[in-house]
Amino acid sequence: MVDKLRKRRLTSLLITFLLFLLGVSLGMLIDKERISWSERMHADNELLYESSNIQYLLLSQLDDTESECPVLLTALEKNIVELGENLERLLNYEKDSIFRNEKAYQMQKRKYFLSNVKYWLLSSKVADVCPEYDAINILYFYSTENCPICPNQGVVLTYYKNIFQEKLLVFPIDIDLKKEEPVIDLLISRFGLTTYPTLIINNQKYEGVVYKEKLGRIICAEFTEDYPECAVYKEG
Amino acid sequence: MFPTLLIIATYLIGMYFLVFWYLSVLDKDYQAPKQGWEKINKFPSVTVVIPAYNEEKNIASTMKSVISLNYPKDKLKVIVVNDGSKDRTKEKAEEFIKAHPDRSILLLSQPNSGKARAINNALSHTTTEFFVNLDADSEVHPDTLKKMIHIFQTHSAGENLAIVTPAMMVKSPANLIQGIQYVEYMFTIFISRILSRNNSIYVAPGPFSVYRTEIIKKIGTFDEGNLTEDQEIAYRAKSLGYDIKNCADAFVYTRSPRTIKALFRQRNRWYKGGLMNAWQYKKMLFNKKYGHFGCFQLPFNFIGYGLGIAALGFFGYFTLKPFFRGIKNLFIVGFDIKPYLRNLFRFDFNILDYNFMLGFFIAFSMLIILFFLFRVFRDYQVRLSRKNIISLIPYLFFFPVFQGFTIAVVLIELVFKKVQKW
Repeated sequence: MVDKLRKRRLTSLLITFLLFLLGVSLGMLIDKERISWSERMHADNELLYESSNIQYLLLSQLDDTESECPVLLTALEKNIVELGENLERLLNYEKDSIFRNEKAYQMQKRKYFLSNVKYWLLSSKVADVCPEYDAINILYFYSTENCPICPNQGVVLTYYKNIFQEKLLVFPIDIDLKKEEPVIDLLISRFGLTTYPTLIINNQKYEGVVYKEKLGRIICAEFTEDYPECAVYKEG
Repeated sequence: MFPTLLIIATYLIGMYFLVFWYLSVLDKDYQAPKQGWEKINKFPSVTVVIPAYNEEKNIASTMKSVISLNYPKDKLKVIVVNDGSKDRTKEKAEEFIKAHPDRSILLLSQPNSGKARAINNALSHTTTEFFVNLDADSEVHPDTLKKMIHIFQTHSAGENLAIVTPAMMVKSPANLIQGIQYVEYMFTIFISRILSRNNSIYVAPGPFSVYRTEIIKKIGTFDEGNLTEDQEIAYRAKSLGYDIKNCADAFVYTRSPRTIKALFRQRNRWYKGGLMNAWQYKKMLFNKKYGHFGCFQLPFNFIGYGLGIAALGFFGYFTLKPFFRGIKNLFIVGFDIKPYLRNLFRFDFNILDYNFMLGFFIAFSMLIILFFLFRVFRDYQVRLSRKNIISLIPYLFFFPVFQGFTIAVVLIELVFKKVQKW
């Protein structure tokens, strides 16, 4: 009986270990699939960027942009929103994953970061070509590792993103990636960043968390058109 | 990183015990209810001790269930100990005795001094070969005693078998709290069968455990200062090399707490007493002399407290933390939820969003527990009613959190040396 129980204890240990390995393998497999998904999404987005960029180049050659701009703007805004959503999903996957492939996640984040910068540049250029372009571009500098109050800024930005939808384009920049991406240093020195979070709204710098009321006023002041959502801020 | 490590450690430990129990069930020797009890022809004398404190509502039905036992009248004695009740427990017991003059029932009275002293008081008047302790809030099935005596007579442990424990069920669960306990007790019946098979029973439950009188008197009666004296006596018997077995179909029906507050109070006492007893007998921990009990069951009795705390921690981490983060986020935006409602019904399904690894561990643990429950319901031909299924969900997902919370309170109280009275 004693031997039987000892044997059973050891067998249980072995089975538990195998089950654990199975669970971990499943987790790693799913993680791999998540990275592949992210790569596919990013590749799609890159293609859409190329398309938008070529549209912009063509448009910039034309004198009359009135009829062509709306097509480009719709596509551009849709792509930027999609890029943001995919990046958010990637960050959630990273947070969720216990035995993650750090290198692969880092690589993906870099790709999304570069895409964000590319889209931000394109969006700024498009604004010059298309006068009816009335979207606000926000560069949002944050740190995951060294900024405990940054999530508060994220909450306020999400709140306004939900209100203004594609009229508000947020380009998040994780400054923790600066070790790998020298572009971040360039942006930091261009805008003279010293603290995080920092928002760049139409080349204007806002340091520290910009809370709901203030950000609402800033955003609404930047719009050319009068939107009903802004009524409350304009009255104030 | 710390929560991650905690999750992994908890699942590894929890899964190890579940797998061990699962393998025990698959064993062909897994103890099915013992047959042949109907044919016993030797009836040793038995005293049923009923300690009672403020049990005027239940005492008569408890006494009735004892005299209704399918056991020879002349071999069955009853001692009711009125433990200084402030209600009419004594009068009710006297009325019952008067109405049954053909039965050997003795009523003892003592100033209120606790259950253990009441049992010891009765034990000093006990001359029978066996004695039974029956809580005054419990009732016993007519065949239970016969089945348990049959175990004493047929088990290979022979004279070394000191205690036989029953299969406890919740009597007529009337609300969800009792429904959860009903499922819990069914699960405990199942685990007790495994523990019995593995010589690992560590508690002789108050409702109708049968003791060999000579052994209990020899090892020193019940510990009057102990919160869970029925567990302490079991630990003591094990530490002195005696055996304890479970009679898988010896049914006893106990009235369980009806409210969360009463349940918390009961569990606080159980867990506190359990921890103190495990600590008192720590010399058995990983001690090969005590075999599987020392190397597996006693460590589990300690680890169980850790698992309870972990359940509480996970609840906090996976539900309370996001909840409070949500409240904080709403505060930041002045509790204006309208913008969020726009995206509420947006369909954005991606199968990869699910945490498969954690899901695998949870699903696997739940499947084993459900298998155990299904098996015990089937073995005892208890219908898996809608009521049972409704109780099953909070039993699986919320009861561990309640247990974890109670354990946390117990640990805090022990640190501050607050000891609850019976």
